[in-house]
Amino acid sequence: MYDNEIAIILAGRSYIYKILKQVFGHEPNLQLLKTITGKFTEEVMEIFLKEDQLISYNELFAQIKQAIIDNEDLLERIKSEYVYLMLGPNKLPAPPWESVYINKERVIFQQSTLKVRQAYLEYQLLPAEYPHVADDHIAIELDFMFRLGQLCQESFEKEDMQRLKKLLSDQKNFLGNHLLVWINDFSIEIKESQTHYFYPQMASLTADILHSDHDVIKELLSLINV
Amino acid sequence: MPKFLDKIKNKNIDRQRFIKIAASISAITTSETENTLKNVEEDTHSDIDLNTENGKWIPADCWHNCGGRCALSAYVVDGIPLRVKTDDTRIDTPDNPQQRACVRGRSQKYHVLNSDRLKYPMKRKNWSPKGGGNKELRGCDEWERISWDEAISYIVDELNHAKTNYGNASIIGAGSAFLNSDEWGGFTTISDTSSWGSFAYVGAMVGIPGNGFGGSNCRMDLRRSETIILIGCNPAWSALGNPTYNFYQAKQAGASFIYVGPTFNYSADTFGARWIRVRPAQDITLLLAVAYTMIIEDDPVNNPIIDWDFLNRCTYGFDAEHMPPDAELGENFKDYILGKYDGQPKTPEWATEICGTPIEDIHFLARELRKSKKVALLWGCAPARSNDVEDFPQIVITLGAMGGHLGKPGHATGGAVHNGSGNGGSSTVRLAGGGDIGVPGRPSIWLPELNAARECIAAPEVWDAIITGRYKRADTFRHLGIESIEERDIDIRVIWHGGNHNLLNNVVGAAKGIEAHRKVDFVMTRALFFNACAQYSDIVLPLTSAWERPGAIRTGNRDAVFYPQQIMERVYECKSDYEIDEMIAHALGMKTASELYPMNEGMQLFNAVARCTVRNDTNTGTEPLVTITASDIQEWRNKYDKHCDIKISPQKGRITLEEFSKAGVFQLERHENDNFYHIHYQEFREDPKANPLTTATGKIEIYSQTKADVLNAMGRSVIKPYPTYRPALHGYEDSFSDWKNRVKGLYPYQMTTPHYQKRAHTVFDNVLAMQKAFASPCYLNPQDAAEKGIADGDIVLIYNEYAKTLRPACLSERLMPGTIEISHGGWTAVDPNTGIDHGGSANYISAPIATGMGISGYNTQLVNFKKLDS
Repeated sequence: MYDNEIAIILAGRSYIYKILKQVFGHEPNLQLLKTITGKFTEEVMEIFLKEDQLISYNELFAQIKQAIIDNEDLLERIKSEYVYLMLGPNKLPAPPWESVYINKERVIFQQSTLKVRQAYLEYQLLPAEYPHVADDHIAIELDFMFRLGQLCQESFEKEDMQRLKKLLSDQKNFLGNHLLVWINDFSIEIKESQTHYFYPQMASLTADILHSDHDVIKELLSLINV
Repeated sequence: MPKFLDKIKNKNIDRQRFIKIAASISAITTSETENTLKNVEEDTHSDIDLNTENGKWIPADCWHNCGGRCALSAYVVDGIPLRVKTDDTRIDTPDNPQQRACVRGRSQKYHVLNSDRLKYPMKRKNWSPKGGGNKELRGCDEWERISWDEAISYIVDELNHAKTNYGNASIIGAGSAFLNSDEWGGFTTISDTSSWGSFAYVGAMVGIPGNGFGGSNCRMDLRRSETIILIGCNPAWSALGNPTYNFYQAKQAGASFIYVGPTFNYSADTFGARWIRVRPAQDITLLLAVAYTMIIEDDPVNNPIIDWDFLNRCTYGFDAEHMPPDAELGENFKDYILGKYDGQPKTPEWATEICGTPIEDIHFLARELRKSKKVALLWGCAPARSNDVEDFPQIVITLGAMGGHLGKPGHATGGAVHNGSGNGGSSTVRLAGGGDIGVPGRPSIWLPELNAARECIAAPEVWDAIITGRYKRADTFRHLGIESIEERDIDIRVIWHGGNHNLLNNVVGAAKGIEAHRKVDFVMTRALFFNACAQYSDIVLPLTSAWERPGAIRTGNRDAVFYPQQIMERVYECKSDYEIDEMIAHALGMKTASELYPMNEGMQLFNAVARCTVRNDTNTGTEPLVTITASDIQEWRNKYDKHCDIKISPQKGRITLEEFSKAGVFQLERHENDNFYHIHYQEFREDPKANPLTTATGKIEIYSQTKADVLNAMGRSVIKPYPTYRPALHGYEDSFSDWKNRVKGLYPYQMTTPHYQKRAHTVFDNVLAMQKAFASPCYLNPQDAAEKGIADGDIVLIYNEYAKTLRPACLSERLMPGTIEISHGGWTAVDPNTGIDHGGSANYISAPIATGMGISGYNTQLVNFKKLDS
């Protein structure tokens, strides 16, 4: 009886993960900013976030939108912020890897990284640059959520509820065991950034979305009777 | 209630429209695969074993310039090192100790796996080619990621531009063989006395080998000494691994210890040493008074202190009857000591006020040095890393010679420095030349005499030279063959931080160094981290750590050789120095590129492994250490390079390649009275004519005409051929504005910069675990601190005419009043608004001034200090 709604929310989840993995995984471009500040993103976010959560992001997006219209060099500033926060060479205020937040030594390539790798391998996935990069980079973990989200959509279309349930349950576990474990700390530490054009806010948004998605998955699982 | 789905329901969203739009955002994605996942076929990942029980221990490198060399192993699961342990390949015994790692080695994985590792080639945003763009922004600019191709292309353009327009000498730096090749034509080198201090040049002139590192006996013989005198060394902090253990064995065997220095340091404490205090850079003053006491108290019949037989046979210049044939000055050491030339006998009473050593301690030291006692008189190089201490090597070997403490079991006069500390002598197991990777034929990157540019600047003067465009060219200790100092023009356009040396942090006068970096057109750094050099660069290249390279052969103390291997794949886009240089040499179109970089690092390693040798059982020659079979050679070629023209044939050695790979360390079995003892100077002592030393006369030169001639030609100071008292620049005497009336000056405290357990120079300073364990305080004497109202833990501003730095205070009676210690290697971290360094970088506030032979005088710095908020 919620078929339409389930199809919509599954599509919305894929959409949102696709955007977020893009935000944290690649240098920003104008198209990305336009998409994020566009009407459809707002529509999707309204599904996932509460009104009070939405207000602050909508303010940010309105500013970005205006800057694009005014042809300001905002993109350049956001690009610099991306480099400063995600690439270096400076000491990163909030290194974007899970292991940094779950051990005390700010290190990458840890036992926890192997657990993330294990989760990927169960779906025959590995980081494209394996083994040179740490598997638990925020963008790669979000890509995993995106890919499983797409599989959820496929399963639902094929009415393979067994598969859908397994996928949702794996996504829930991945959120609970990984992304949700560190996203709050990440979103707090990234506030140490020297600028706040985009990424510190996007980290907070990501935290809000991930928490919300965890609830969404629980809701979906409660409705799926196999 | 399904709240999310109800929310959607209430919004009346059109399913088809929504799904269509949601799926249509492919436009925002790029084709880049980075930070994404890829699908892998089952058969390609079936060999990936993530079970943490199924990992493998692999010998791992600890490769830093720390003063030790130890065994590490890493427990690796699918390329991720999860744990680190140290040597457990043998039962630990005093004769055959395990090669155990220190706190730095054991934190190696926090260093290699640090999330702050440089990961991509980066370019400073406001740098422009051929000119430098906005150079003032160096150190505070933004950055852009570039590809390796772009980076190499920029670098090649800058090198060519500098060479064509300003000449090879406009490039300064260190660390790249191609720059030093005949084809390229050289570059300007920096000559730094660094660790060795005045031993770097003077040591060999007076009869001390190894730039001051050599001369001592082996660890087994150390146990025969009755008294071990340590001057200015601290193996417990600066030569980790087994040196402290070696000394401890001597302690167990009954030796008593004396420690001479401005601080009762941790080694002195560990060995229960009697502390003989001496102010920084006043060791010569003290030792002159010790010589005076020995001369005055010696009575060959009733109180024999001096070994006249040794002095007369094996040295020149002690007295008028034993002058060297090349002496041009009719003066000798003994008459100087007795005051014949300046009317001032070098009495303990004269010395005590200057050097701060109590008179009874001077007497005690002189009496301990008597010839009948088995004395090991050992030094660290810290006293030699001071301004105007060219005479330190000579006075210390003079005292050793006076007591006859050379060339006999239990008697030694030599260095207790670095990984040979407490274990002198050439290695029983070693790599047969060619450096750690064993590639033959590569031009040295260090030796200026091989450098076609033939410009060489003393390290303390280098930043000034870059800023002013003038410098005084003087041979420091690497023989350019220059007879006198020359004022010359120099136009530096490119600073090439070619290895992971962190030169800007490690050379004195870093505050001026930053200014110099902001003057030139181009600065390139490659490093593991965003260190001081990288911060003030235009292009930064990420280096692999040793754990990401094929492996290495490393020698350390004389009884062990280490064979660490690759632990993991390169992280992110890092490359090795060798790979980068090879790329640049080819991109420059150099015809000799393949000669300079003849084989990959895997094949170099094979070369190094095969060339390891071990002394034979009778210690009369060497034999190959490792057995190499035809299948070993084939296997290695298959792994690294099938076509490499490497000339390795099967050979029979002491151990198999597999055994060596597994253990990662080979240690020659030692036992009491075996054939491998090292008694330095033994043959020389027996027959000095047949076994001459490196000096001009072949004997120990208490009078060295060479020393005086060469150092005086440099023009920075006037030096006698024998050791004399000379107030040091920024020494104790300079801490007074009016020395005669003892009126203190603006910067009345003597600062020294000892090595610290936390770091190997600057390495490990950014490791969080080390930061938690070691506060890197400034050590203050409580009396001095009380006068300034400073309590333990207060933040202290340390300042002088050059710069300012901050440190928490640690009050300790271990320091002499009037002295302050800031340990060497703190990372320069300058607040751009105040110019104050927050990293406790000792070199940031040290003076960029060279004395005498051009010594980097780290331990002669004058400062003042105050509580930060007062």
